[in-house]
Amino acid sequence: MKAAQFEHHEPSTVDEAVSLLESLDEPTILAGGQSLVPMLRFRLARPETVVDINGIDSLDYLREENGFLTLGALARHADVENSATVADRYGSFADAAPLVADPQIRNRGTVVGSVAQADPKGDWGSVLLAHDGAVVAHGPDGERTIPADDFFLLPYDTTLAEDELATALRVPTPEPREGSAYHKLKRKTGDYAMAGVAARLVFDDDGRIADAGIGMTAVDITNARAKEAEAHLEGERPSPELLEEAGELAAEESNPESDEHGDASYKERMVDVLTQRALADAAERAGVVERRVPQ
Amino acid sequence: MTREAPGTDSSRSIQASRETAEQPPSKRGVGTATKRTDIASKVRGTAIYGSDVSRPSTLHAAVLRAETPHGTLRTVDTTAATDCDGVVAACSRSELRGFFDDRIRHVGDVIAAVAATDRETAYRALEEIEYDVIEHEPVFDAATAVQAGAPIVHENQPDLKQHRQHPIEVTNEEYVNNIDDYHAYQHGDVDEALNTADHVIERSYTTPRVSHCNLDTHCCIASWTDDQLHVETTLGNITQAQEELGDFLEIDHDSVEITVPPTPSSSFGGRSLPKFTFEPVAASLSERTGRPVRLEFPRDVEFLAGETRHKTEWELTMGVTDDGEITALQTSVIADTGGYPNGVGHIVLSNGRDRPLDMYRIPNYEYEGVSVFTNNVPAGEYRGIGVTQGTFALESHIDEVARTVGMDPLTFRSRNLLEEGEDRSNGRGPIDTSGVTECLERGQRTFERITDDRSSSSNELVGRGVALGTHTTGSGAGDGRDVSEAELTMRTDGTVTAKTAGVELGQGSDTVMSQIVAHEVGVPPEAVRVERFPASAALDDSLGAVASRSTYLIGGAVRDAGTQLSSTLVDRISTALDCSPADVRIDDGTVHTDRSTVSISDLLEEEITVVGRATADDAPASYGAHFAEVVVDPGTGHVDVRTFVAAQDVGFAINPKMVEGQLEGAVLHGVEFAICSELRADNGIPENSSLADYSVASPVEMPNQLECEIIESAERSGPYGAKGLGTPSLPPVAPAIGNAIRDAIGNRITNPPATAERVFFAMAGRDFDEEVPVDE
Ligand SMILES: Cc1cc2nc3c(=O)[nH]c(=O)nc-3n(C[C@H](O)[C@H](O)[C@H](O)COP(=O)(O)OP(=O)(O)OC[C@H]3O[C@@H](n4cnc5c(N)ncnc54)[C@H](O)[C@@H]3O)c2cc1C
Repeated sequence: MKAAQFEHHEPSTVDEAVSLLESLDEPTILAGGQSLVPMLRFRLARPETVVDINGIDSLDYLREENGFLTLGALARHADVENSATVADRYGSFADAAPLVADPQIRNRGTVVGSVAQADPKGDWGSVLLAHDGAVVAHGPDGERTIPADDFFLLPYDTTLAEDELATALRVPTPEPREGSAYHKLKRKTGDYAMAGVAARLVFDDDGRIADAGIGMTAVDITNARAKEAEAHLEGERPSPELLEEAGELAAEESNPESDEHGDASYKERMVDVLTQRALADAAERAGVVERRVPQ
Repeated sequence: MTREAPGTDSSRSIQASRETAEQPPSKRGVGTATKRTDIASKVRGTAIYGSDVSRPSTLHAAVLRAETPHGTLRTVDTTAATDCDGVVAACSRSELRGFFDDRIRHVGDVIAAVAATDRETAYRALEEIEYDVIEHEPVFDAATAVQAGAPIVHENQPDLKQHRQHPIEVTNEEYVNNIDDYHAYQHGDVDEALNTADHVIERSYTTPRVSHCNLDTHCCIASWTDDQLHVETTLGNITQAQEELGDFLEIDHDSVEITVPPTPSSSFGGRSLPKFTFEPVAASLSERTGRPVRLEFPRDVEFLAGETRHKTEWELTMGVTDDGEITALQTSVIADTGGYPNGVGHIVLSNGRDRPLDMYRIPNYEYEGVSVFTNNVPAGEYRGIGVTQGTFALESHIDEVARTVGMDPLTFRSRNLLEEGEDRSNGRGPIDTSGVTECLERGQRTFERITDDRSSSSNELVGRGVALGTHTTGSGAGDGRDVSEAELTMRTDGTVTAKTAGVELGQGSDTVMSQIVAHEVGVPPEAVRVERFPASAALDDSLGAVASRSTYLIGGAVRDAGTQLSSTLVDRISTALDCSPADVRIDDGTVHTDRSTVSISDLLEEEITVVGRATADDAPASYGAHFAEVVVDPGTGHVDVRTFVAAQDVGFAINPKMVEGQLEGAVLHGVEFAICSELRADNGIPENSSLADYSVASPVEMPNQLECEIIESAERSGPYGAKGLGTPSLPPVAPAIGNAIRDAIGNRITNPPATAERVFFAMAGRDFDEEVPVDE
């Protein structure tokens, strides 16, 4: 099928985009189009007007500034995959990027668009949650910052307003003793997650876990945090037993459903396994644990 | 991923001296890796496949397909659809030509069809069709469907003009309804042998419904000229397809002409024969409108109506002695034919019955197989019909049996192998050539060499497995009933046109034919043009490009024609040059005598046409021994096939590079069968009928290290010693992987695909199908 007719707008600045969003009737934003275009073609979405943000050059960046790693709305999955900054310091981002879809989709799809899509099977939402990140949005009333915890509402639904443009997402730059990782299980190469877990650990000078973040993919109605597992880790020294307990807690907190990707009971077991692995990698990358905790 | 260039050091061994040894072969004749004739167009993307073809003034068809699996159509109203702008005709099911009744038998069955000026209009018009179905209780489980009282999908053995229909006598009282085909056979005394065996091992295996997933979707263009139907479509078995279509549409066989698109699509069995909801529908719409009609399957319909591999359930009971001798095998299989017959159930069952006896000495044997109609999507031909499924069951079982007896699975197999020249246990003639022992020895040597220095970490479970497989070459019709003819014409410019029954489906048959001509006549392969002969040609062929018969039989006909052409040519040249034929040597298009060197074109004044013929009295078996090493992630159950060795007896490798291609393709298909694919259905509605949801193997799933060992046993009846390869190379792949998984995790997955989830639960000691409690 082909998409139905729509009006195509190409703003070149954020202000222009925001005023279009304000004035047009039910506008839809087009970023990389890797989720939107399939929806148009299957006519799951039939927008009257499309605001294409690909001409807003100021949104095409990925940089560390003012204590944050910030990805502009036009930073593609492939930009993250190829970034030296990310490779050096943001293990979870570096892990996740090459696991998203396939190279063609990574060359076009954006990280911000993926988060705005709010597919519970999307990988980036979990990374954002694990890092206590935030989405930066521009609307008629100016700029606001939405913490990741307040962003995801339901599948494909966020707290972004209709006339708001997400211009960036950001996560705090790493603490001195911080490490993060992302583990994803999929049926086949290029596929969405059957389950995925992002973990971030910050250690104090004593080698205890000062802060833990765990975000889960495809095992709840949105990307979700494993709060009890996080709390269980904080104040403790990492050990295989501790990670096992955290994995078990995360599995309990998850709410997977049986579907084409797998049985709910299997996914729950996988949350356990992936959580342990992501935590082990995070601890190792923080430089606290020397060797990987064996499975 | 590190990946060694596949097959770079594949080696060859020649057991018997080639019968052609005295003749100096052309440098690029048989036995050399000449370039494929179609490679440039395929790599450049200029090849025109079936779904690329469009003809002037062609209408586009769309088919309204059933969304419920079983019902009777009461009314179908196409008036509103006919009235749509751009619609030229709309036919209800009952208005279609052929054996269409008012019954809907599977999701995807035809309710009505529309022809319009463009595809989108045709699809839109479908929304205007009103219909009313009385739903019937459906049946999806073949073992249930065959019993008394099950909902009737078809009367037993209905006549829908499928070929290979044969009289059956069902001796099993429990098999009552929905019987598509039935075979029972026995020799020896199985009960007695099982009673006295030292060990009796019994086990069930199931294989899934899977789809070919050919890249090019089905597309045909049907048109009529007076009473003559012409269909342009990729079909491998053209002769039989013409007959089946004619019978189905109730017109003369001679009134059906099938031609293939400029570049036929890949098949893997998916394009051997016509399909119920495909060519007949386009033919009806074309007849109705008086214009050519093009019908293309959307991707989801490939799964619904493209015909899958038969889903099968096997029960194997084997008796063995303490020292590992097989004394008895009892096999029963139930195959799911789906909603319509096509004669393929017969092949599934007969291959399931006969193939074990081509491999092993089994003194007492009992076999029963039934193929059963259900309200699932129809099954049909798929590379290794029945053999792929049966070999999975048998070779998995043998692995279990060897473990029970406490023998190394390889030694166990060697002990029970039929030897060359030995009669099969069913009394059928002896095995003529069998490279199986050499396959085992060479394959194992290579496998040990490349897996030897592996250290494994504690985070992975490594397992190794082996499996054998065999399949026959050609149809096995016997008595010389399988025939092929080829016509060669040498033009005065020295080029040769070969008209054959081959269909180049990507398997490389055109290249092989050009090599044979080049070799026999002494011209370069590029000087040979290979064409499919038209239906009107006075040339005979029984089955076209199916059953691994292209090289063996069509190649045999080409070779016969080649030798005739060569001697006629040498005669003419010796006359022209006034020398003895013995003094003429032709190489690479150039004529050499003691006195001169000239090109053929300088000497030939009139073109030469000859016809060659080959008949198959035999169906030589080809053998393979495949070895797999897998790495299983103990946390997730994910299986990685790390190393694979495919040692395959091909008789003689006319083009070693393409033999490797076939072997690598078989490994890909086998990996897919073993660990990836399954078309799942919920109440007959396929749940994953899209390439987003249905898992196919990609290069990532391929073994990191893959070696092809080409064994040449010099088959007496095949051209240059060649025998079939396409089919026989697939069956051992999946059981080798399954046995390696068993070795790694200590438990067997008896129901492929061995997805991570199944392996995970098998590691935990649970059956996948068991209800798994969610941990609180
Ligand atoms: C075959 C396939 C496989 C995939 N596999 C994965 C996978 O494994 N993991 C994964 O995470 N994703 C996967 N995806 C989705 C992919 O990551 C998309 O790129 C992403 O979901 C959307 O990003 P986009 O830039 O393409 O957004 P678009 O498709 O352009 O937009 C998506 C939605 O977000 C809205 N939107 C976009 N940008 C903004 C913005 N700046 N502000 C407000 N709203 C906005 C749009 O209006 C639309 O509703 C897959 C997609 C495909 C087609």
